[in-house]
Amino acid sequence: MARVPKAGPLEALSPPEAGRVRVAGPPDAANDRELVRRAQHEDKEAFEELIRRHQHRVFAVAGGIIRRREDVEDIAQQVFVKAYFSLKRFDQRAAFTTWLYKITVNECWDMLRKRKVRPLVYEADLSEEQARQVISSAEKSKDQPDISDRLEARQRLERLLDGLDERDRLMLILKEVEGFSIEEIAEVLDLNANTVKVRLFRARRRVVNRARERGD
Amino acid sequence: MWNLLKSDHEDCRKLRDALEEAAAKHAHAVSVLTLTKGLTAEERKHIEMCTDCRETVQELVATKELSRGAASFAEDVRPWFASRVMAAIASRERELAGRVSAWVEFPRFASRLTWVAAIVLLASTTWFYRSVVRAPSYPSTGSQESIFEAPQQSAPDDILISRASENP
Repeated sequence: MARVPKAGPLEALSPPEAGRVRVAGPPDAANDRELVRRAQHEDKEAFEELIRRHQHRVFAVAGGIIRRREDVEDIAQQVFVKAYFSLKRFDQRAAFTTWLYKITVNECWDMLRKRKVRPLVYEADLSEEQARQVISSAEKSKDQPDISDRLEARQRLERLLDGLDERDRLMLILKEVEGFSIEEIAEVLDLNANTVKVRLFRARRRVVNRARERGD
Repeated sequence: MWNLLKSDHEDCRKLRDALEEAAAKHAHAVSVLTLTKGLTAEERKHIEMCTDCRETVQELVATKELSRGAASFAEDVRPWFASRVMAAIASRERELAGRVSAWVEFPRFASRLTWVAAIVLLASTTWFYRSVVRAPSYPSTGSQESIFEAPQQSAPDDILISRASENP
């Protein structure tokens, strides 16, 4: 269980180097433009390449909102299918990622609205197959912590974030778990980068206070 | 006084930006020292002076510690995901093409459909008319006569002629 340090004078905290798979930075926008242009002319290979470039980030955003592993892949698929059929109307004034994130966020909210339930993630939500996949992906990198530990860490974090505003929760997850930059979070949530920074600091404060109260 | 406060806030804001950048460089949990190592001497001094910023640093480190090792959804992407999406797109395209072709085929059969509709209409109206005509609405013959045979009335000239022949 991670211990939260008490606020105090500057001190060196032990930095346990836990491995974490992070999504690579956002794909190159210039290449995206070219791929989008080709995909708009019915080049399916170009669109498939776009999927490969952005699938991790779409999964990250959808997972951050929906929090149910079994639904994330379906939502991500819907997002890309929708993007494909709307691509001709996309005029490239905005970045492809911005446009794709908007579709992702809208699809997720639509799904949650239809369900009208607050999403919660527990271990039981993982199907056997998914658990196997996660385990096998974890086995690929031996320096990674055990998958059950990582799922537990995620659940613990989700519980701590539960009382937060939905946007603040998503911001923290995208920033701290999925490795998004401030600018990307601003794109996802359609907010100003400064607003994201301010809200992130406030959200962190609340989470840390909550963890201290719980004695985590 | 106000200017002093304002400049303090500005310093805090700049420091937080610098901290955010420093934190972004470290994917894993970091210590306060690691986080502040890249800062300037002035910024470090500000942290020691400003309680709020000191707390900010601690909170940043603590949040990283809390989220350390948490499973990311981005890792759930399976190698065949892109192919699965492309297959879904192809299937949707076929479905849409089927719908479109149904409407494209429609004009080809339009003239035939018009003829069929006209014949059906004609046959049905004829049948309906004949069924109305045949229907025995009243059993009395009088009424039938009133419909099909006009009552024969003798004209006044006929009466005069017949009287004249009786009385020459």
